[in-house]
Amino acid sequence: MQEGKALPAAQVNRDLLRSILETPRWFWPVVSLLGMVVLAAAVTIGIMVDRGLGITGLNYKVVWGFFITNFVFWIGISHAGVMLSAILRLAKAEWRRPATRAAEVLTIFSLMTAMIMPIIHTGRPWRILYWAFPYDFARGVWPNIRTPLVWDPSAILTYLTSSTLFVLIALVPDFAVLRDRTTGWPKIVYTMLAMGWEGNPRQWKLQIIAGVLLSALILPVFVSVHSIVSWDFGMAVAIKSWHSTVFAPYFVVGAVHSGVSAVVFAMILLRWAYGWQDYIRHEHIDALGRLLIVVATGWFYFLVMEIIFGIYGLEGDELAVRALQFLPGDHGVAYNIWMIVFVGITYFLPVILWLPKAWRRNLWIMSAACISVNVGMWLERYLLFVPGQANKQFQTFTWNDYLPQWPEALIVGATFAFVSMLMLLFSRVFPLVPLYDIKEGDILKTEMQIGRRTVPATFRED
Amino acid sequence: MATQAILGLFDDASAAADAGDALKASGVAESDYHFLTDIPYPEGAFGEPMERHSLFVWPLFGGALGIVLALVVAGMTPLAVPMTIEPKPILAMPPLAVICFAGAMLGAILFTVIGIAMSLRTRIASPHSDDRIATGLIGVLVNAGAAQEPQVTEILNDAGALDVTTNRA
Repeated sequence: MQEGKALPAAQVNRDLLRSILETPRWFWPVVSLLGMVVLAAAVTIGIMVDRGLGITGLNYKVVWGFFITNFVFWIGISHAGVMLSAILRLAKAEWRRPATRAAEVLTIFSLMTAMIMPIIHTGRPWRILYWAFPYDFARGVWPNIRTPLVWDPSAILTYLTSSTLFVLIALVPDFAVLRDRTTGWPKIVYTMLAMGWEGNPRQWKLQIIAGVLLSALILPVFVSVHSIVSWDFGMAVAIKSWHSTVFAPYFVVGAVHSGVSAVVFAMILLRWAYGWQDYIRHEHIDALGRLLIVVATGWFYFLVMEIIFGIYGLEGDELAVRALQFLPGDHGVAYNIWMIVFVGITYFLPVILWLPKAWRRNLWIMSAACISVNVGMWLERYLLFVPGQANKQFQTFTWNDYLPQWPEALIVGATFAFVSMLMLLFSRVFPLVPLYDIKEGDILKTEMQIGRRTVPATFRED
Repeated sequence: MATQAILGLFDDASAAADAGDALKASGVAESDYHFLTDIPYPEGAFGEPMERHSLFVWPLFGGALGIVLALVVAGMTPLAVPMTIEPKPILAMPPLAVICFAGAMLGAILFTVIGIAMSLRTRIASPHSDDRIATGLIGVLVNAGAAQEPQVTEILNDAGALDVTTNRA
């Protein structure tokens, strides 16, 4: 895993700071286009707040539709940051170096986007404060800490705070490089952010220990966040098909599956957009592809177990939902067809594409596989949440199915534009590939003679 | 007495380490010179003493504080305003554990970062540096009195410095 030649530090600085010190011609038109989509969604949210959730397809009984599906999807994407950065940092995996920053930043922006979803889903967002804080003292309505809907914001805010601090601490040495290369007000800002960094041995030691400490601390948070998100469903008394005991690990592994796929696609886009062929190399995409085969198979195991456990109990409500998911029927939406599509594009198609080494090194094929996984993972959440609610149950007086309307479609689509826009704006002011990590990797590169072969190797201090 | 920040730039780690040895031999205190690099070098690569730190204490303290605060918020709320849902207890352990876990982790991470900021001896002002260090050169930064400047400059040059600059405070 040590392909590519070691590059001079000056060239690394020049190449990786190009996105900050120069503005590509495509940059502002693309950001403007994404901004317009986000603006359209903001206007739609305004209309929705004004007229109420009645303009969406939500109804009684399907009260959790596109917005909650999208919430879980973006929380899932956010798991890539910790998966790649913390685990690979602790494992001292050399190939992590170009991927960590983009993954961590994607975590932050995905979490921010995810948090918007339940807020607008409430219909009256200004009342969101009452979710976590006392409604009003006179009425004596207090948050119920026994519901996962209160655990959720506490876990997600912890994860967002942790991830942001993790990124900021890792950025400090790069802030110092920018401080020494800029003038005017950017220099003032970078000087403050660099916190007096000069690169002495004490600072480097603290920086490395901080990385290890924060990685170790953030890992349990990463597992807890998506577990708690799964309990939003698992602990909902009314919906029988959500009471699966494998939900927590199933959600966590699924989140890693979609998150790492999203990072791979983001890395391929960055490589193409900023000409970072020397930094984001085929070997990195190849390694991530191999990791994804393992993660995808782990996810597939939990998917099958979730279905088997559901059917094994032979409970009427549960069987009815499984029938709705898997069998053709007279209901409006052909869930069974969507189930086949979802399993095909989330597991079988991408894993087949990831198996041959040559295909893992083909960026077009990898892009297609990663997009396929994410479309599939979005569908997975939809097919997990909506049929359970749409199923006819005892004493249900309306038996509506769920057909999303234009506001939901527009807002969900705009979340992708929002995250892309934030990533691009971030790349305009901060390096998306860590400079010192790349330079350190290049310094540690070497070659070893083993018998008649010369193989790439890495020096490492434990 | 006015102090000078004298920076010698080296392209070789051994030469920088030799400069450190020569400075020490000439009577410059170890706390008065530092090695500046653009990547983390193995500890002791320049013959510098092992750094001690107490960073591990911060997350422990923050975690404990986080648990206490979470217990207060998540425990006191249902006790103050009981919401009876039979047969569930008013003060249920599983939700308390979930909230306390989040509180402990948040406290630990916040205090780790505070600890890092304190240990880095954070300052807003830009240190005496040289952007050539970011291109792979190794800096030896010496804080010395005006009288020592010629001697320090000579030591750095003798050790093979590519350039020596002085920043007068």
